[in-house]
Amino acid sequence: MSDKINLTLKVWRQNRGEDGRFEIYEAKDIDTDASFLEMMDVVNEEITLAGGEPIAFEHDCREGICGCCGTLVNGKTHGSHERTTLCQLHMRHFEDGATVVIEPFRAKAFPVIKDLIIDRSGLDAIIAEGGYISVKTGNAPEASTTPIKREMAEAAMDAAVCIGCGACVAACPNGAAMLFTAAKVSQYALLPQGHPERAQRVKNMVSKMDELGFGNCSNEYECAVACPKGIDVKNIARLNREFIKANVKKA
Amino acid sequence: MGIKQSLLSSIGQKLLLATSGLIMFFLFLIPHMGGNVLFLFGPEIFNSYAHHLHQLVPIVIGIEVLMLVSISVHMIMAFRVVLTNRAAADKRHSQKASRERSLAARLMPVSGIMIFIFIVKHLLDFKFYEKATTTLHAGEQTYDVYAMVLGRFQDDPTHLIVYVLFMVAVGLHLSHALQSSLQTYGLFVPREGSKIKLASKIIGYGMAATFAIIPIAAFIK
Amino acid sequence: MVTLDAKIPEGPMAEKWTNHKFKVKLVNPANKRKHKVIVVGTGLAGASAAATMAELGYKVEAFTYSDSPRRAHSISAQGGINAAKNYPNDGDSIYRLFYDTVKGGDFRSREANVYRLAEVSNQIIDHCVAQGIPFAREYGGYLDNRSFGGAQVSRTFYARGQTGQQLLLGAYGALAKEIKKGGVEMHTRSEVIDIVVIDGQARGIISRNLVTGELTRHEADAVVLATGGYSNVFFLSTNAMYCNASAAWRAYKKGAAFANPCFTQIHPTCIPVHGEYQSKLTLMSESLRNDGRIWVPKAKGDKRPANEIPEDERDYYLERKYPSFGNLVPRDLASRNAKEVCDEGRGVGATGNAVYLDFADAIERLGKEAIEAKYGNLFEMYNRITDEDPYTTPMRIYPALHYTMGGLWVDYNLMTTVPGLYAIGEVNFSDHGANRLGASALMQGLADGYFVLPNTINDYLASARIPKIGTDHEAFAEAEQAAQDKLDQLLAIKGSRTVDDFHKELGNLLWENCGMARNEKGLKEALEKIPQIRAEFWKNVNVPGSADDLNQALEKANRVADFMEFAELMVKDALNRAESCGGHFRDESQTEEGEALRNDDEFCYVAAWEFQGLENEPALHKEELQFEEVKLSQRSYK
Ligand SMILES: Cc1cc2nc3c(=O)[nH]c(=O)nc-3n(C[C@H](O)[C@H](O)[C@H](O)COP(=O)(O)OP(=O)(O)OC[C@H]3O[C@@H](n4cnc5c(N)ncnc54)[C@H](O)[C@@H]3O)c2cc1C
Ligand code: HEM
Ligand code: HEM
Ligand code: SF4
Ligand code: F3S
Ligand code: FES
Repeated sequence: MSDKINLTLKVWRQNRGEDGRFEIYEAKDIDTDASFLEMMDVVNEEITLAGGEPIAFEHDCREGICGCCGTLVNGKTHGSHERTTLCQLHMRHFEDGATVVIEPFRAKAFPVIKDLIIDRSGLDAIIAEGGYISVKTGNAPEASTTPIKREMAEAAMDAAVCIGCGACVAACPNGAAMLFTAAKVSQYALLPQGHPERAQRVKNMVSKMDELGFGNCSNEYECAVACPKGIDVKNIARLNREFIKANVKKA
Repeated sequence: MGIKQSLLSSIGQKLLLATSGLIMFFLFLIPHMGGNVLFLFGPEIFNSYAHHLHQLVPIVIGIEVLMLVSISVHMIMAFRVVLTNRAAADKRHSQKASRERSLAARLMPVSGIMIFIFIVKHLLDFKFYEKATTTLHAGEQTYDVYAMVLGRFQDDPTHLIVYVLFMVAVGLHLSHALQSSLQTYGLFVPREGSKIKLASKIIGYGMAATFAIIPIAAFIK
Repeated sequence: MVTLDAKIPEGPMAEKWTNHKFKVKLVNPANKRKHKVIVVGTGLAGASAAATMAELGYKVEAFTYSDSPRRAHSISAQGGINAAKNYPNDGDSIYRLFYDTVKGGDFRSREANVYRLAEVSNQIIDHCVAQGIPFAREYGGYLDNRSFGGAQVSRTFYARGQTGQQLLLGAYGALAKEIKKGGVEMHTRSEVIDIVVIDGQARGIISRNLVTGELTRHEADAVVLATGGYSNVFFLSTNAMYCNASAAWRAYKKGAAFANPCFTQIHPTCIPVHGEYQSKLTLMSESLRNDGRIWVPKAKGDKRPANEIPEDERDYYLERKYPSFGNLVPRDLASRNAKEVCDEGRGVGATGNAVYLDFADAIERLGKEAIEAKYGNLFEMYNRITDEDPYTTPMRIYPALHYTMGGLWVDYNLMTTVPGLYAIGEVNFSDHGANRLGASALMQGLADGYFVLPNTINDYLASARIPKIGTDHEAFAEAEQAAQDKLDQLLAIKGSRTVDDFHKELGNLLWENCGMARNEKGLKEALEKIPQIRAEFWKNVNVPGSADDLNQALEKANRVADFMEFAELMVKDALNRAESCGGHFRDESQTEEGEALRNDDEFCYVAAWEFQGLENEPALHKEELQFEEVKLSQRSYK
C-alpha cells in the first residue's frame, strides 16, 4: 500500500565554472509508490514555485534503458538496489524522516556540467575507436549464412546490454572504464562477425580509455556491483585476454 | 600500438605488475619460505641448507638479479598505476560505499611499501650482517646462519613484533595479489563464491603465517 | 500553396522500388563530398541515415538533444523487428508482410510505400546481423522468430526484451564509425529549434547548445528530420520524457504539410497511473496477453480484492465479446474495451482506471516455472514498480499513449512538401496508416534510414539547383532572432504555474477528449479549451533560470509551447475525420456491435494540413488513396 514520507535531501549544486556545494531541501509528502526521479520532480516543482532554480539531473526513458539517469544516493551509484537504475528505484525503499545525500557520478573523466549532470562523452569516444563492426550498408551477406552457437549469442547479449550509464566508472575506486569497455569488446569477441577487427579494436579502445584519463583496473569489482545491467567482471578478464592476444599475435 | 606502448598502457602496466610479482612469488618467496622452515628442525639441517645454497652461487646470483629487476619493475609499475588511479578517481564524493572492495585490496599500496621497507631492513639484518662461522657434522666450515637468526630474535621482543607485523603486510598483499593477477592475465576470477579468491587468501595468509613462525620459534627457543 | 504529389513510381507493385532506384539521378562520387546534409535526430532512423549517407561520401552534420546518440527513444523498444524472411517456413512472404501492414493500418496508408517497406525488411536483418547485433538464436545456431499481434506468421526478430536497444546501438556504432572517419560531424546536447527555408528550399537549421545556451546556424543542401513521434503531447505516454513535436512543428510552420495528426496509437497493456506525481507510463509487453486473462468485476464499484471476487462475479469481457480472438484482439480493440468497462464504473484499483490481467489460470495450467521462464523479467519489472506480486495477485493494467502514426507528409522519396526537407522514422506520417502493427516501427525507421533515404536523396541533390548562400543570409538571422525572442519571452513571463502543470492540463484534456474514443462534442470542447490553456500558458508560466545556461525548464517550456499549438491541429484533424479507423475511433461511426466503422467513400484519403498562420484555419489537402493490391474490407475479429 502506498504511504507518504518526508525526507531531507542533501543535494550537490554546481554551476558552470563553479566549485559546487551541497544544499538542503525538504521533500515533503512523497508517495512511496513514486520513483526516485518523480520525487525529484516534486521537489523541483516546489523549488520553482518558491523562485529558485530546479535541480538539474539527467533522465529520459525512465525505464532503465537509456542510461541517462544516475547519481550517487547515499554513496551508492543508482541507489541501494542491485541491478536497478535510479529511475527504477522507488521511494518505498526509504525510511520516513531519513536524510538522503544526492551527488553526481564523479570521476576525473566525467566533469560536472551542472548540478547532477556530468559529461560522459568519453564513453562515446571509446566506442568511436572500434565499438562496432565496420560493415557498410549494403555489404551484408544473407543473415542466416553463419550459424552462431546459441550460448555464444546469449553471452554476447549479456555483454551487449550495457546502457552506458557510467555507474561502473563512478563506483570504481580508480575511475576506470574497464567494465564498459570490456562489455563492448566482449560482444564482438564472442561473435564471429567481430573477428576481422578484433586485435585492432581492443588496442584502440584501450588506448583511448587511457588517453581520456580513466584509471587502471585493480580488480576491485565495485563496478560489477554497481552495474544496473549486471555486466559481469568475466568481461574484464576477457578484455585482458583479448589485449594479450592482440599483442602477442603481432609481436 | 607498438609493443612498448602496449606494455605501458593500463592493461600492459598491470600485466608487468602481475608478472614481476609472480616471478618474485614463485622464484623467490616460495623457495625462501621452504628454506626458512628448516630453521625449525635445528641448526644442523638449517645451516646445511644454507651451506648448499651458497654453493650454488651462479644460480643464486641469477635469482638475485632477477629479483632486483622484478622488484624494480614491480615498484615502478605499482607507482604508475597507483598515481594514475589517484588522478582518475574524483575524491570529492562525500560518501562512497564500498560494497565489494576488500581491505586487502584497499591497502595494496600500503602493504607494498611495507614489504619494501621490510626487505631493506631484512637485508641489513641478515644479508649485510657479519656472520659467525660454524662447523657442520660433515666437517665443512660454513656461516652459522642458524645462530644469526636465533640471535636476531632471542630476547628481542621489539624485533619479533616488527617482523610479525611486516608479515601481516605480506599476508594482506598476497591474499589480494594472487587472485588479482589471474584476473589480470584474463583467467576469469568470479566475483561471488569464488574458490580462487578463497585459495588466494589461504595461500597468502598461510605463507605469511609460516614466515612468522620462524621469528616466534627463535624467540621462544 | 502546397500540392501533394506522392511521386509513386510506375509499374507493377513488386517492381516499383527497383525501377525507381534505377531512375533516380545519382551524384557522382567526387561530387558527393561537396554536398552537406543535416540530420536532425539520431534515433534508429536518424543514426542509420546519417551513417549510410556518410558512407556514400556526403558530408553529414547530425544533431541530438541527448548527451549521446545512444540515448534516443528508440532504445526502449522491447518486442522486436519484423521482416519477411520466412525462416520458420510458415508461409510468410514480402507480399504477406505488405498485406498485413496495409490491412493492419486499416487502409489508410500508401500501398507503394508499404510494399517497399516489406521489400527492404529482409535487407535490414542481413545488415543488422552483419553489424553484430546479438539476435536471439535457436539451438542450431539459426535466428529465432516470435509472433506478434496482427499477424498469423512468426516474423519478428528479437534480442531478449531489448531489441530497440540493440538495433540502436548497431546504428549508433555505424554512426560512431563515420564520426571517427570524419564523415559525420556530431552535435550532441544540441536542440534544433528552427528550420531555415530559403526560396522554398530547406537550407539549414538553428540549433541551441543545451549547455551554454548558444544559438548556432548551420547551412546544408538538404535537411533530414528524424525526430520521432509526438505521443508526449498527452503528457503521460510510454515515450521517453524528452520526446517532442517541436522540430516537426517548426517544419510545419515553415511550409511542410502535416498528415493525419489524429492517428495515435494506444497500447492496451501499460502499468496504470497511480498518482499526481506520475511522470510517465511503463509499457508491459503485449506478449502477456498470450497467457493472461483480462477481467473486471461484474458489479459496479466492487472494491473487494481480486482474490475475493468469485469466478461467477467476474466479467472476462474480451473473451465474452470476441470469442474467437479473445484476449488477443488488436491493440485498439483491447484498449477501447478497457476504457469502456472503466467508464461504466467497473474499473479496479485505487483510481478505478485499471483492469485485471490475471495469470492464475495459466499458472495452474502450465506451472509457475513455465510462466516465470516466459515472463519472469516482466513480472519483476511490474513488481518493482507496483510492489505487488503478479504470481499471486492479478496485474492491473490500463491503456496508454504509445505511438503516433501521423506526422509530416512525405512523398515516395520521403521528402516533405518543402523541397530539400525530408522526414524519416516516426516523424513522418509513415507507412502504418491508421494503426501500426507491433514490431513494425523499428523496421520502418531502419528501412528509411539505411535503405530508402540514402537512395532517394540523390535525386534531389543531383537535380535541384542549390546555390551557396552562407549563414549570414537574412533568413538565418531572422530565424535565430525569432528563436532568441521566443526564449526570452518565455523567461520573462515569470508567472505562477510550472511548465509541467500546463503540460498536464493539456495532456488531461487531450486524453479525455481526443484519446481512445472521440466524438464531435468532446473535440469541439477541446478546440475551445486549447487556445485558452495556451493563452494562460503565455501569461502565467514560470520558467526559472536564464537562456545562456543549461536550463531544463526552458527546454521543456519551449517544447510544451509547441505542443500547445500542435494539439489544436491534432484535434482539428480528429474532428474532420468523422469515421473510425485504426487508432482513431469516433463514437459516431460504429457498427451496431460497437465496432469501428470506416467510411471509405468519404475518408479514404490522407489528410495533409498546411499552415496558414496561427490565427487562421489550416488548409486541408487530400491525398486520395488507391488500393490496387489489397481489397478494401472491414476488419473483423469476432
Ligand atoms: C515503450 C516502447 C516500446 C516500443 N517497442 C517497439 C517494438 O517492439 N517494435 C517496434 O517496431 N517499435 C516499437 N516501438 C516504437 C519505436 O520504438 C519508435 O517508433 C521508433 O524507435 C522511433 O524511432 P525514430 O528514429 O523515428 O525516433 P526516436 O528514436 O524517437 O529518435 C528521435 C531522435 O531525434 C532527436 N530529436 C528530436 N527532436 C530534436 C530536436 N529538436 N533537435 C535535435 N534532436 C532532436 C532525439 O534526440 C532522438 O535522437 C516502441 C515504442 C515505445 C515507446
Ligand atoms: C614479495 C614481494 C611482492 C610480491 C610477491 C608482490 C606480488 C604482487 C602481485 C602478484 C600483485 C598483483 C598484480 C595484479 O593485480 O595483477 C601485486 C600488486 C601490487 N603490488 Fe606487489 N608484490 C610484492 C612487493 C611489492 C612491493 C615492494 C610494492 C611497492 C612498493 C608492491 C606494490 C604493489 C601494488 C601497489 C600492487 C597493486 C597495484 C594495483 O593497484 O593493481 N608490491 N603485487
Ligand atoms: C620472517 C621470516 C624470515 C626469515 C627468518 C628470513 C630469513 C632470512 C635469512 C636468514 C636470510 C639470509 C640468507 C643468507 O644470506 O643466506 C634472508 C635473506 C633474504 N630474505 Fe628473508 N626471511 C624471512 C622472510 C622474508 C620475506 C617475507 C621476504 C620477502 C618479502 C624476505 C626476503 C629476503 C631477501 C630478499 C633476502 C636476501 C636474499 C639473497 O641474499 O639473495 N625474507 N632471509
Ligand atoms: S557496464 Fe554497467 S555500469 Fe557500466 S556503463 Fe554499462 S551499464 Fe552502466
Ligand atoms: S571497480 Fe574498478 S578496479 Fe576494475 S574491477 Fe571494476 S574497474
Ligand atoms: S532515465 Fe533512462 S535509464 Fe533511467
